[in-house]
Amino acid sequence: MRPGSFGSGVAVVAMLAAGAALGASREANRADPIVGEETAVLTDAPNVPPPIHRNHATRVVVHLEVKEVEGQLADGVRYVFWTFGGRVPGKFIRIREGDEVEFHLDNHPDNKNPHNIDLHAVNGPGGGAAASLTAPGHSSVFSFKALNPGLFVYHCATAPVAMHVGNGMYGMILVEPKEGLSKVDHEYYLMQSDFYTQGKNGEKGLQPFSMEKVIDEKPEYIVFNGAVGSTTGDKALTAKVGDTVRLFVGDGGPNVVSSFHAIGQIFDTVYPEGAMSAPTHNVQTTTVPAGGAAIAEFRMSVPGTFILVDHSLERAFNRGALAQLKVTGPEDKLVYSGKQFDLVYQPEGAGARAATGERQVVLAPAARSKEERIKLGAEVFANNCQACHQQDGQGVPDAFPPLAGSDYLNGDKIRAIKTVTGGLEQPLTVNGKGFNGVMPAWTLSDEDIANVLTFVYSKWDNSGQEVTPQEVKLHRVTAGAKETKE
Amino acid sequence: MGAAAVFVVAILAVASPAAAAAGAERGGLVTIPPGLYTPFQRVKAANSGETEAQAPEAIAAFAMDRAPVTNAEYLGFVTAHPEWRKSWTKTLFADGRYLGRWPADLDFGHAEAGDRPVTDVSWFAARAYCKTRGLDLPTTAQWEYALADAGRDEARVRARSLEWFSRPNGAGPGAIGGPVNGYGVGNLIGLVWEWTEDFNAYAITAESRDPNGNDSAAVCGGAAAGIADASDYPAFMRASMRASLKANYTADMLGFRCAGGAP
Repeated sequence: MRPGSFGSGVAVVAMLAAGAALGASREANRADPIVGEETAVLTDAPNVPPPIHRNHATRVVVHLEVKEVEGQLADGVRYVFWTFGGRVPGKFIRIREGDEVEFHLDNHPDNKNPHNIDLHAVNGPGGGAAASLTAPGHSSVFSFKALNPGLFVYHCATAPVAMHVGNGMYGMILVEPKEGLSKVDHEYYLMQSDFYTQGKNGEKGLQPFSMEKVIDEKPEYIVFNGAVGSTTGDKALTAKVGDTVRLFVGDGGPNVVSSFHAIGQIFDTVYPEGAMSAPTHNVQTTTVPAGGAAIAEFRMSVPGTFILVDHSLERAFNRGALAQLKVTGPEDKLVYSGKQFDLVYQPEGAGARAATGERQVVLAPAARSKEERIKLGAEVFANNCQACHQQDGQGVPDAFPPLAGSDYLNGDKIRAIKTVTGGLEQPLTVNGKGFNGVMPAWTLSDEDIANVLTFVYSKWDNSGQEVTPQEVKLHRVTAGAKETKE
Repeated sequence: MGAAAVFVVAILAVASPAAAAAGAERGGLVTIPPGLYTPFQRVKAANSGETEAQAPEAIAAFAMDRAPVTNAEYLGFVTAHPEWRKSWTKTLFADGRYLGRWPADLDFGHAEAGDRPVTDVSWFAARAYCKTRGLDLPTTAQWEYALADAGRDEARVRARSLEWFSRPNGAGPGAIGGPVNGYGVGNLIGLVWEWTEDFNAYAITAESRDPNGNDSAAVCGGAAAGIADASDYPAFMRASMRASLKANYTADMLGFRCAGGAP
């Protein structure tokens, strides 16, 4: 039996419930009388405001504050984000079709730049942008009636748009259909986007925006929820076996389209492009266009860590587009035996990666002691290894081998150097369990590899031995990155 | 305008700031030579509806402040003109944040603020200040022409602009001074946005992506059919900033300098 086929049985039930198109006509929504007024509850990702139980339209007041703030884009990498509400992505807004929204765009006086907002849920010039260009220290107000149900992206549309969006100015607004959405156990907000830093991926420090790279559409980072690792480790999404999960997935761009996929979990229902009219079922990967959205619903059948990726995989494993959903509960050996596994698809072979000639030039200060080596290695680990081998070094059963207490690792230091520098593409046994994935050849510098191995050896009851750059140089399989600084 | 003539004048202009730098004077007027300026926005052609580059505008020689007007200089102005003190000024002419960093009418706070550009001033106030010196605010064309600096150092100026947009505001602008461009003008970028006389005339439409916007041609978006150089992000940013303003607005990073006909 294939993984997820139990889930598709559930989907049949869901299909009966959600078979008809949801929502009313534009005319009906335009005429829907407004009763009462409320202030919108706004949430930061991955949280979503509570479902709407009203059976009438109302006036919803939204106060969205634009703030230019410095934050973390990846470990050791700082960036000045332009935000709707203080974080990337912007606040999630939830209204009902027929609602009249009184929108206040507040541009904080400490900001340097003018901003506006284009909500794709609006029918009108610029989606609100024409009415909301706002100088720092000022506030714009406009109103709109929600005529179309669906999940919509909003973003800043002030010139140059690609710079405002490239700095983080997007979020999502859900216009619930009158019928409401089906009840689920968890709703989460996940938004992919691309960032263009002057320094290469992994280069530390405060990184300025690169106009050249955004024009060439060559992002350094492609991430979920505004940062590498925003939704992994102890910040992973959670659910229990038997729970239904609804993901509101958006793509802020500015340039890159997402091939959104959950490794090891089939989507029972997808509302493609966030439209309520034609849900589809049993979907493996759904396209989320830049400036577009999708809703994915699924029931968890078995426990484990499910990895959410942009299945254009370079982005997931090398640029950051990777999140985790951790599911706890009893095994179901009928659904998933534990011997089969979802083989991670790596389009580039180990050799190919090393042969491209492209290097990640990481500013790698030389460690002067073993303690420094461990400290610097922790950052290398977070940027390169943690996505698969996990923060706690436990790996992912059947997919990525553990490093914690690993006999393969601790038994032979030179083998470890050869594995990291040369990659591995053959079955291996770690602590008695078989693995058959692909590890790419890492083109890191001798220093970085020495540091990360020393870090790994220092953790999780491992042997504690030190690896030096000289040893890496002696035993490495492929050439590494140059240590030169730009 | 012959390029040679511009060149000769430019040499003179370059020579003068070095002399000035020796003295205490970091402000003061600099003479900008005449030349041609092609506006950033394109215009709709009369018959076809297509956009086309605007005809280059002839810029006559003019004088411009070397640096933005400072708090210390502005203190002199409000001392002599009580109607522009923060407690006296009507919101019609300056919004509620006018001189927001000043603790009191005749007090700009810390002594080091004296050398920093005055900010939180409205267009009305800035203009009134320049009038007392027998000057005006520079036109947008004059300001942009001075920044363009006859094409010198264009890439670096753009890079520095982007860097400035991306730096959080923090404690406000630093002190004036430092390097000047080929014309001898300094601090056009990197400290504050600046008012121009006709800030709303070139205005980018509020909906900046519409190539057929009623009042202009300033567009953005990928195609950017209406822009002379779609990759000049800092020019978009300046146009957007000017478009977001009204004459009584003040902002924490918005200052000004004065300009006038050539002496």
